[in-house]
Amino acid sequence: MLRYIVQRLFAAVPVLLGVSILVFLMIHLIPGDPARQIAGMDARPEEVERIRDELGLNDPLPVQYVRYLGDLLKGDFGRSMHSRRPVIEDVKERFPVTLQLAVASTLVATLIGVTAGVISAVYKYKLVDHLVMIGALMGISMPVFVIGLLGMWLFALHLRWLPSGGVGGPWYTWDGLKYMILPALTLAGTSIGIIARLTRSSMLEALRQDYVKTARAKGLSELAVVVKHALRNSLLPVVTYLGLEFGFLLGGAVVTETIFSLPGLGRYLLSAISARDYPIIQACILLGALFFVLVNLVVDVLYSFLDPRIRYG
Amino acid sequence: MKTQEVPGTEPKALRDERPVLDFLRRFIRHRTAAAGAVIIIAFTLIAVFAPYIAPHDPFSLNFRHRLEGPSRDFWLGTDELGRDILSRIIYGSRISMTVGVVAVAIGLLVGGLLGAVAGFFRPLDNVIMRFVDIMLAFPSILLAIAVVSILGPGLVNLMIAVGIRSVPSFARMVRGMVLQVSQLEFTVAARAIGATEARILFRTVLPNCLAPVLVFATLEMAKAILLGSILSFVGLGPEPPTPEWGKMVADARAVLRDAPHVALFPGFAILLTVLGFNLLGDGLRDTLDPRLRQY
Repeated sequence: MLRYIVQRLFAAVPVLLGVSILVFLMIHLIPGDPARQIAGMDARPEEVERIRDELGLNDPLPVQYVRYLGDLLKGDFGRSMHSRRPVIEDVKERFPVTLQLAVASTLVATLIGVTAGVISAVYKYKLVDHLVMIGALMGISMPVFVIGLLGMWLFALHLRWLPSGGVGGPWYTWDGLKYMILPALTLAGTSIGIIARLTRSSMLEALRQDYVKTARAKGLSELAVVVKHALRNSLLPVVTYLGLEFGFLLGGAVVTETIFSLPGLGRYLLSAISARDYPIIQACILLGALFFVLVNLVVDVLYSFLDPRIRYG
Repeated sequence: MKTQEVPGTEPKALRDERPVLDFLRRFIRHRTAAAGAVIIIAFTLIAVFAPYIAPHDPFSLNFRHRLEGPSRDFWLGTDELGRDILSRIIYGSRISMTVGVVAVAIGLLVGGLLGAVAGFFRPLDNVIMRFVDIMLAFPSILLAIAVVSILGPGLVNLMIAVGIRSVPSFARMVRGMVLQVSQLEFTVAARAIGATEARILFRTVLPNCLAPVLVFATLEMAKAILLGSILSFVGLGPEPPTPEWGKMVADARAVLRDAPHVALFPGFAILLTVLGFNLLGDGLRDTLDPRLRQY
């Protein structure tokens, strides 16, 4: 087991290095002179020179990259071009919001998606199955922001049950939790659809297996057959999917945070783009990729834990 | 979702010597696929004939009719500047369809080429696929945002960004297909009779990858249109007067409380188009190759 984990960790290193190279190159891929682009067209030459100097654009490319990587390893993401604050400070403040949102919507999506998928599989071709599958397809086809605005209009503006945006107290109090409900449901929307479809097909596969027949034959209740035997064995593809889904959630957080005015990394990234604040953009993209790779690593390990065949296969 | 037909068990009338006709018959019988096709054909016609269909000028401001609900003059109401929402949605279909087509074309050409080369010329496989792995390490929306932040906002750059996002998935998909088809007997046979490698790739292997790639591309269209509207929504798309659906929803956020229809109608247009491509993709998968069923 430990060998497998170490092996997977080492396999991730080249990918992470590649990611850091691409993110590093972002500034150099800007068409024209990056320093002038960042400073703005009407900036004075000294200003442009200062930015060029600060970004180290005068050094040879490999030297720049090694310095960039060294800084990263020390946890130094540079400074914001405008507020002059170290980017890491801002990230530390905003990361918990995005993490909370992502974790909450993963939980919601898994819970609703798996339940819907199981119901759909058990009542195959019945009315409820068709309804669930139509709902799932709608969820997949609906843009995050339409789900969000529909929810906001109905629950916040119309019924006034929930706040329409911002943050309250800590997440474990109702005062904090009520601000997370709509954003988490919004972000979960698409994933619910995909997880429901995945669970359904996986369950249908499992319900055909001999061990289900055996379980029924020995007189177990239908509930026990479905939950203990079929569901357990059909959760594996869902677990794999959750890892991939996390990437989508990190991206979707950009939209959700914008709609519900949450002070997370997604909104931080967007405001940095309009201000052409490249150190912030680079840090957010890099963190997104880093987090995505790490979550998938955890999922891989979890997968091998759930299904020992993977390790030896 | 629908009954899955086992080969050889279809009624006699369904089987046909001509594969294209046979496919068409099964396709039309597949209700969800047909529904998807109808939606997409409708939106394509709307996009092409927009100037003839639209009841009003999508750009003309009319301050006497601001934020009106649906009426006989303005079927879907008017927005915060008094523009006809229906006309703007009709013109917006041109943008969304173009984003989908251009982005998927970029993904298919670049990704497909990378994947075909990786799968067919094995020495290059490792290099190309490691690069694809790195691209896939970026969450797709973030990858597209990164590209837009480099190139700057705008419709063309948005299409490029959405296209680049799909390059790694196309590459991985085509590579898998090429690897699979390369093992099949007819490819071995082509090699045995002395066909050149290029001929084998383009005349034997790639044509046999076509059906799954078509399914994949249809589902990618849905994702591309969705992502395009998301980028527009967060302000990385075309400039203001352009009637882009995602942008229309974003602009209507300020009046959501009093005039929710201004945001919701363009939102439903996105939903309907994306749903069309998803239905069509699912249906094509079922009718072209039942083995590909994933969900």
